[in-house]
This record gives sequence, structure tokens and C-alpha cells, in this order.
Amino acid sequence: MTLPLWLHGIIAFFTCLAFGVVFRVPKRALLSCGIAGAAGWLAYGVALLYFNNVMISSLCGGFAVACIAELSASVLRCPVTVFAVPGIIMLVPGLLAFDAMDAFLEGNYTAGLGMVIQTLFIAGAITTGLVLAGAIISGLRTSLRKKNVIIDEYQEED
Amino acid sequence: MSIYGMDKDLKIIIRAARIMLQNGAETYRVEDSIGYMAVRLGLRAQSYVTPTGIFVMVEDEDTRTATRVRAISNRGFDLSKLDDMNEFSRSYDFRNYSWEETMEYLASVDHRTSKYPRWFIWLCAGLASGGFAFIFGENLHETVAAVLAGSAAMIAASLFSKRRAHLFISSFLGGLVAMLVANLLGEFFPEADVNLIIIGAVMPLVPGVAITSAARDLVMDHLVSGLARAGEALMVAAAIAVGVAFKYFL
Repeated sequence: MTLPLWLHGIIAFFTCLAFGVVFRVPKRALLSCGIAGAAGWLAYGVALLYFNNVMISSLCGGFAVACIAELSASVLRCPVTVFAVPGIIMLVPGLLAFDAMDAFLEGNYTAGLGMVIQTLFIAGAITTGLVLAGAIISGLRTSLRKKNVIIDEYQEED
Repeated sequence: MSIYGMDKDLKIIIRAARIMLQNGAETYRVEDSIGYMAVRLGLRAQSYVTPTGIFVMVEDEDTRTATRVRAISNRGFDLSKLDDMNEFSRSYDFRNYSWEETMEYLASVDHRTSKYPRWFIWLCAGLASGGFAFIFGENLHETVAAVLAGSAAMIAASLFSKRRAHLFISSFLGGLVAMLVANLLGEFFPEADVNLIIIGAVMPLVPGVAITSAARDLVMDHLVSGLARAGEALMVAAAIAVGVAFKYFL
């Protein structure tokens, strides 16, 4: 990255707004999609500066996206997916997957396999961040609120 | 006591669940929503939902049961429909509306086209591609080219959205068109990195819904659905890659 981080944040915000429209997000949720995407990308960028490790940075990015998504979901009463889907797209290792495909097509299988595994690990790191934040925040929320009567009731029978 | 009679209630539940599932809901969310709707209709429900089918059994207080199965194909992503159905399952007032009115409402949500006009979605796909290319390339040539290529790829991908096997075909076509347009624009912008334009252009086709719900389903112990979604994501990614790989024939 040669451009300043704040500029990246702004571009990421508008990019994720556009992704939100592609996924037909309801209008009242669009702004939060942009914020989630920008937060994810900034967390990724900052973590990359500190740790210099793509996997940890992807985990931080996914974590930030999910935090904003969970918060927006409870404020706007929308499913979390609505915010998380446009938010994580920026973090998907498309560049690496593309290079891996290139390597395979040129017959360079060893390098290609390495890149495929790295791609899968990064994807795993993003989803780990995503579910970590989801588990923490929804765990907090349910322990604060009274138990979910409906779901518990119909699972305990038989 | 069920409100409209068990069979009619079940029809409402299945219809709402199908709309959710076809528009990107995680399966645990669909099962939860089925539970909420059943309780508010005066029934108890047991359901088993996978990305390709819904099985619901409802039971009333006299332990009479009714069951319905619905196979799901043609999955898409219109997250505003998912939002509406989520709201419907939790707070729709069944007592104030007749069964016909409720089914009419569900049909109107099911058949409605997006609030965003199609050209706007295509434009936004292009802008998203451009933003992506700008962040990775930090160069205006690639950004402009990616805006055009991204819109073209999205238009190509939405051509076949109602056919069978549309997911594979539309992803493949999207990748192919992204590659062709990027190579064409590479002639006009000699300084631009063609590979970066392609990557930006295929970004709106990335199966974001499948990735997100795969992760969330797996963690919520919906192992079958999670693996099925992960398979869907891999299949779409492979289809895009096959389309892009045709650049070796140019």
C-alpha cells in the first residue's frame, strides 16, 4: 500500500456500498454495509502493518466486519448476513486464487498448490474472524436477555 | 389452537421458509423462523432444512400432525427479501389478516423485482469492481477499465439467471466476459495490468452469500448445510476460474 490508509478506508466504504446494491441489500441497511466493509479493510490494513502476516490480518478483518454486522443487526433489526456478505467481499483472496489458477494452467503445479492452500487458509481465517465475533456478541446478547423460550421449548420435547 | 387450520398454516410456513432459503438465509435462521411462525400460528414445529430442501412437521395440541416437503432449486440472492421474511416470521400479525391476504403478501414478496433498477445494479457492480481494482492497483487506468469490465461481467452473468444450472453457467459466462473485456481494454490502456482488471471485474460474482452462510451454518452445528454451502462456493469459484482460463486460447 502506497496510498494513505484513510483513503483506502474511504474507497472501501464506497466499494462495499456498491457491493451492497449488487446483493440487493435493503436501503436502510446500505450505510452499515459500507461501514462494515471499511472497518474490515482498515482492520486488515492496520494488522498487516503490525504483524506483517496476511492470515492474522484477514482474521482481524473478518472480526471487524462481523462486529459491525452484529451491532447493526441488533440496531436495525436485520439479519446479520445482510451486512456481513458485502463486508467480507473486500477481504476475499481473489488475487491469490487468480495467481494459483495461472500457475496451474502454466503447468507449475507445486507453486499452484502452495497458493491454493494459502488461499484456503486465508478464507478460513476470514471465516474464523467472522464466527468468533458472531459467537462472542450473540453469546453476550443471549446471556443478557432472557432465554429464547420458543426455540428451547420445541427442542426439548420427545 | 391453529389460526387457519393446520394445512393452510403449513403452506404459509413453507412458502416463507422457501423465500428465505432462496435468498441467502442460513439454514439455522430458516429453522428458527419456522419455529417462530409455528408458535405464532398456535402450533409446534420440527423442521429439517438444507440448502436444497425444506422438511417441516407441525403438531397441534391434540398431537395431530401435518408434514410438508419442498425441494429448493434456483437459489439467488436478494437480501431485502430475506430481511422482509425475517421480519414476517417474527412480527406479522396473523390474526388481523385472512389466509388469502397472507398468501398474497408472500407471493408479492416472492415475485417482486428488486427495488434497485437493473441498470443501477449493473452500474454498482462496475463501481465495486473499480473500487477493488483501485485498492489493489492504486492506478486510475485499471480502475476505469475494471468499471467497464465489471459491468459487462455482471450483465453477462444475469442473462441466464432463470435457467436450470444457472449458477454454474452464469458464473462461467461472467468470468469469460470479464476476461474478454479486460483483454480488449488492455489494448486501450497499455499501462494497465490486465490480470488486475480481470480480478476486479469478477469480484461481484464471488459467492459471498455462500461463503458467509457456510461459515455461520457450520458453527451453528448445521454440518450438512455448511458443507453443502462450502461446496456451492467452491463450484462457483471454479466456474469463474474456468471462464477466466480461456485467456490462454486468445
